[in-house]
Amino acid sequence: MDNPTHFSKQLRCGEVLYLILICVSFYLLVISRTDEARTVWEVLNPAFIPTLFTATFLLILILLSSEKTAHKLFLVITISILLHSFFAIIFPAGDSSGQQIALGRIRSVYDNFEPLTLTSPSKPLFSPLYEIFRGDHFQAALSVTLARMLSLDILGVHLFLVPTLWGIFVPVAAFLTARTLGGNDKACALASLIISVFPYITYFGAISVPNSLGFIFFFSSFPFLLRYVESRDSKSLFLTLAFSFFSFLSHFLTGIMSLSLILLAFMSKPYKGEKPTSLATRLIVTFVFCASLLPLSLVYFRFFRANSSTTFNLEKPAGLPIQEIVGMSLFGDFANSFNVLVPILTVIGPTLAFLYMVYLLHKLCRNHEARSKATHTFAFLAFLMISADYLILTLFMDELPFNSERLWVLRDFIATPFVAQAIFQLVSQTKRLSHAEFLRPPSLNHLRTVIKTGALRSLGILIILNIIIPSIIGGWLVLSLSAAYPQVASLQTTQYELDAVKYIEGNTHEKYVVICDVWTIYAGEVIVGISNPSAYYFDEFSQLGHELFTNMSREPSPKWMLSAMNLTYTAVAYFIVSEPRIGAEEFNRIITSVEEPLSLFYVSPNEKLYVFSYSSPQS
Amino acid sequence: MTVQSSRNLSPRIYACACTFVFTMMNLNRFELLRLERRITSDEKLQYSLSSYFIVAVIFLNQSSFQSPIIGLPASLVYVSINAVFLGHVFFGSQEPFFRLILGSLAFLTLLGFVGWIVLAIYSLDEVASILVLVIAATVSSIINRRMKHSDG
Repeated sequence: MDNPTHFSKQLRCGEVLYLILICVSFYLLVISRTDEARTVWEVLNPAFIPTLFTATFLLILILLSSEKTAHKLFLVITISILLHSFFAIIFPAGDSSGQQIALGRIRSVYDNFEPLTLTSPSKPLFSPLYEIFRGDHFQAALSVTLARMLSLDILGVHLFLVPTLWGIFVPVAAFLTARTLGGNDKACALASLIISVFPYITYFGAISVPNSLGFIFFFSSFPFLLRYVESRDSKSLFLTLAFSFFSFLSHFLTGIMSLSLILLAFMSKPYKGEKPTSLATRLIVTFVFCASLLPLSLVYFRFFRANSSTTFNLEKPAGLPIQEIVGMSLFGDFANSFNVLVPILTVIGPTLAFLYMVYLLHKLCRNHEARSKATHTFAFLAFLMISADYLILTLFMDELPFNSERLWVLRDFIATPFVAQAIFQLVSQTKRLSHAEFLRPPSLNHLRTVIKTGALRSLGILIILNIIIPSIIGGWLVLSLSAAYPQVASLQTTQYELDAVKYIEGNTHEKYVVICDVWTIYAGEVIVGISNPSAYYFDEFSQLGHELFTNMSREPSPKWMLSAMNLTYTAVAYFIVSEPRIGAEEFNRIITSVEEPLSLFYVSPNEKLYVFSYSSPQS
Repeated sequence: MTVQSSRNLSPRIYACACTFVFTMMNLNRFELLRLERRITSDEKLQYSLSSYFIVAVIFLNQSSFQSPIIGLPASLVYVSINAVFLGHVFFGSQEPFFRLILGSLAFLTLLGFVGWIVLAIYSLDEVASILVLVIAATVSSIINRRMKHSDG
């Protein structure tokens, strides 16, 4: 290792090998792509996990070397994009979740149509304001502009938008945050990788929803907020405010949390001559005020959005057994997970970070001249505030518009630099031990013993540094993927459902309505959009659409189709049934009981999906 | 409504991205810095005008060829020029790599923001999308020039 040229050659070889492994991993993901699957684990190529583990192992060695920061970050970005692209590459239409609903809305912007609304529920007072600022619009504007620039279909752009942006910008934000907290460049580079060991962070980086974009902007604002806390300069404040505004424009959750942190930063500024007790009181009051902003805003959300009825329920914990309260507080939804590893993986990172933060603050309290004291204290307060908000939302609130675990993404981001610093500290201590061993003069009397024990110890340290630590971090990262990507799920949107939707769209010249199950509605949303007046698929939450499908399944009669056509002012109606969604018996019963005037319009090549059509007698 | 199959998109996207990144890595640090300085100095508005020229290429591609082979490199160059402008203005104190990355984030944000305003006022059809690209390029060019003048 003494010869820099030799070391540089080794490093380059390592980097080339790492890039080859990443390319192989991408290839393995692409060949795992399937027409029909429930989870990514069902179809993932068996060689993928060993390849990924080896690549991560190599990457950690590179990150702990003296390579240039830009090169390290480029390598981290490649693996980060890979880790967040599972859904986009493996499933034909991504994960069946909010991202398909988001794409359904974005389609209306891309194809420039006004969604047809069948019912007009009473709108709250500030509903127009909510409509302007809802995150869908910002994401739609970005996705549509990029799709037109790149001349790609909106489906592809939408699926890869967040994984790509997340893969590029989030490691950089983690690096900058760690650096602002005073981390060594190697620890900061480690932080940019360590962020992927948090399962909820990985999950939100893999789905294209407005909330994910909000998280990206929140993460980008955080290092500048820390810099503002440290130096109180106007440029950092401007950048913080700008990124926070866009995080608000993407999703109100991240916007409100950004606002809370900015207020916390403003009000935690110490004044000249202020007594420590006065500062402590002000900090406590500020902390309580900032922590209450999110719960209160959720309660008053009903003035902005229809069907929002979040309330405080202070009696909620009283009706729960103590072990359930502890389980919910620590593991959230994962408390009842089938796999015991999943809840452990969700808490191990934040717990490690919390302990290291307490240790650091204790150390900094003794050192009155420490420069990073303000930033560390602020990061600790932000971590506590988000954790407190999570507990309030989980234990004392009902009818939340989203699951409270989303706050973990923010908490884990703040935890990342501390976990990385803790690991780096361990590495440094081990290295120091190794140097100390070499520097110690051997005793002539026990030369042989010392050489033997010294060599053994050096070998042990070498193994710890180059094998055990990279293996543990690599293994942790790979294991956390099993918590990030669901192990159990319903059947995702299949290729033959997409093909059926495309076939209907390509072969119908009149306005049409489709009666189908909620899963085919997702397929319809990603191809023609939601509530498209020319190609109408009912909203996935529509009671009417659900009733029509149930009635058609029970009694495949034109009267239901006619009713759907009259409701949606269309000339043709289609009825889609697919075998995996309703079961073979029910499927066979339906397709044999369909009679004239309904006609068979399309059958998927694998005969798992049938489409029946009916035209209005007037047309 | 033309629907392209997303089946073959991912390898194509990553192949183009990898080509771009390797080309960038082959340029050494000094060359990159010189290129960045040339772009930010924007002598005779040549890079701002290049940006508009690329918008014209994107418009032509969008209205006639609809080919990602033209769209992808054109968009990459367009975003890179404007990312360098904004990176220089807002993140001048950072290292070149961070300037480029954060500048890209700033420019994509600007693109989304302008698109959001156009969407709120009118709609985001094909012509409006081109308008968004022109406005975003103009804003980043103006910000860059103002910064240059304030720097003296």
